[in-house]
This record gives sequence, structure tokens and C-alpha cells, in this order.
Amino acid sequence: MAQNQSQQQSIDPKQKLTAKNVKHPPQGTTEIQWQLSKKSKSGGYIVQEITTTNASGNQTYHYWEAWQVSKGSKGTIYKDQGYNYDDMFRDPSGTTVNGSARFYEGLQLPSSFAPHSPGTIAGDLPATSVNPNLPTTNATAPVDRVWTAP
Amino acid sequence: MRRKNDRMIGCICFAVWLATMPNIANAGTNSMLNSKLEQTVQAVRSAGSPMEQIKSAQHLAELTKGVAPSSVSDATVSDITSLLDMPEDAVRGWVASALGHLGRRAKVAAPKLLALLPEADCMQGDLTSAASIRPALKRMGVEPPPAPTYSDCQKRR
Repeated sequence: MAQNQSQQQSIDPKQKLTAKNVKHPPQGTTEIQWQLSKKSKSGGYIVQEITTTNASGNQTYHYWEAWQVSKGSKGTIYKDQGYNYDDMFRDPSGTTVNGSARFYEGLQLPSSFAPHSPGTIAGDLPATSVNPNLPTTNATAPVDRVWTAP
Repeated sequence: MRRKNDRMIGCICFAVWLATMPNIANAGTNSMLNSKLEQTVQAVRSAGSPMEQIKSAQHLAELTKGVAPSSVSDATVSDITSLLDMPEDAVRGWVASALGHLGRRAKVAAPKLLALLPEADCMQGDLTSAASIRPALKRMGVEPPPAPTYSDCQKRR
């Protein structure tokens, strides 16, 4: 953690992260693209903590997933290369997904993050089910989202 | 008379030079770009770990962004397309992105992308190659089928 902290660059205090809804997502899903209000000064990662609970209220998943942002960009590497969304929720009916995301300027992603990581359903995104305990000193305010599968 | 001949030879030489130079320049640019792309395709194939494969495939997408599609050879398009056979979905996503950057020039890859789409669409995950395959197909001038719902995917399993 100390290493991650030392490699972080100071964030622009006016930097803001937003989740922009993608128009006309497939039925029963929600899709977003991450958007920064200002270009990233040194690159970094958007890290989102996800908690899902089933229709009975039992927790089904708890993990952290990450999107890289290149230096000088306002969007993720996926958006920059033409992907039509960054994040999609599509779950069994009654599932509630809680997401809380921040952009971490200058973050070097801990090695615990990997695509198709056990205990996660992040798909191609690097993810981990172990709390990375990222310091929020150089991070934006969180973007909190709640979605219940129809 | 001699002066007239010299002038004519000069004109012919200039015309030949003019006609050849742009081709030489294009050939140079093409071969450099194609060589870079081929090297990156090889790097994806020979990567020691899935993470290295993904990084190289991402680099392939970065290399093709903004290039003139006509500057990429048929052989290179074919080699990039062959990477869609790799099992790692994240690699397929970046390869689809690379092909999408080439638009109609890479339309030869459309049948393979269409064949991969049902699996990518129903793969569990917040981000899968489907997010890259659909826009890539559109850039090639191919309309992808509508995305399935959660229950559609359940029925397929």
C-alpha cells in the first residue's frame, strides 16, 4: 500500500468522475461510460467496489474492479479504443448491485487485480475480491450507484 | 538541338521521379506499419502470460487507431484476424478494436466476429469483448444482431 501511495501524483482538486448512461442499452441491463471532467495529469485507474445481493437480500459478490485511464485522457482505455461501454450490469431478476467508484490519479494497480479473478464477475476487467485498501488522498469523490435487476 | 534534347531528357527524368517518389514513400510507410503490426501479432502469440497477451493485444489496437486502412496489407489483416482464435476474451476484445479501426478494410473478419458475439454477449462479466465487437462490426458496415437479455442467455446455457 505504501508503494501505491508513493507513486500517486496529486490530483486536480476540481477533477470529477461521472458515470454517463449509454443510450438504448439491451433490455434488462444498464450500461455506462466513465467520464472525467478534466484530462488525467499522469494517468491512473478508476476503481469500483461492487457488492451484489440476491432477491433474498443475501450478499452474492463483493469485489473491486479497475479501468485504466491514460495520461491526457478523460475516458478509459476502452472508450479511447472504441468500446461502446465501460461497465454493464446484467444480473438475475431481483439482484441489487451497489457500486462505488473513484478515479485514483497516478495509481499503479496492485498485482492482486487480474482479469477473470476468482470471486469476481468483472469479466475482462482486472479485479480482485481482496480489499486493496487504496488511499483516497489523490482520488476523486465517489460515484455511488444502485441498480436492481428487473 | 542538343539543348532541346537535354531539356526533353530532363523533363522525362523529372516526370519519372515525380511518378515514382510517392510510391516509394508509401511503400516505405506501409512496410514499416505492417512490420510493426506483424511484430505485435507475434508478441500476442508468444506472450508468456495472459496479462502480457492482453497488453500486446491492447498495443495492437493503439497501433491501428488513426492509420489509413489502405496502408495495412491483406496478409496483416489476416494475421490480426487469426488472433480472434485465441481463448482469452480480453485479447479478442482488443483485437476486435484493432480490426474496427480498419473499418471496411477488415470486413473479412466480420464472419468470425459475428460467430464470437453470442458467446461474448452471454459471458458473465461487467465488461466483455461484446463491447468491442459490436462497434467494430458497425465500422465494417455490418449491422450486429441485437444484444440478448439475461433470460435469453439463461435459455442458451
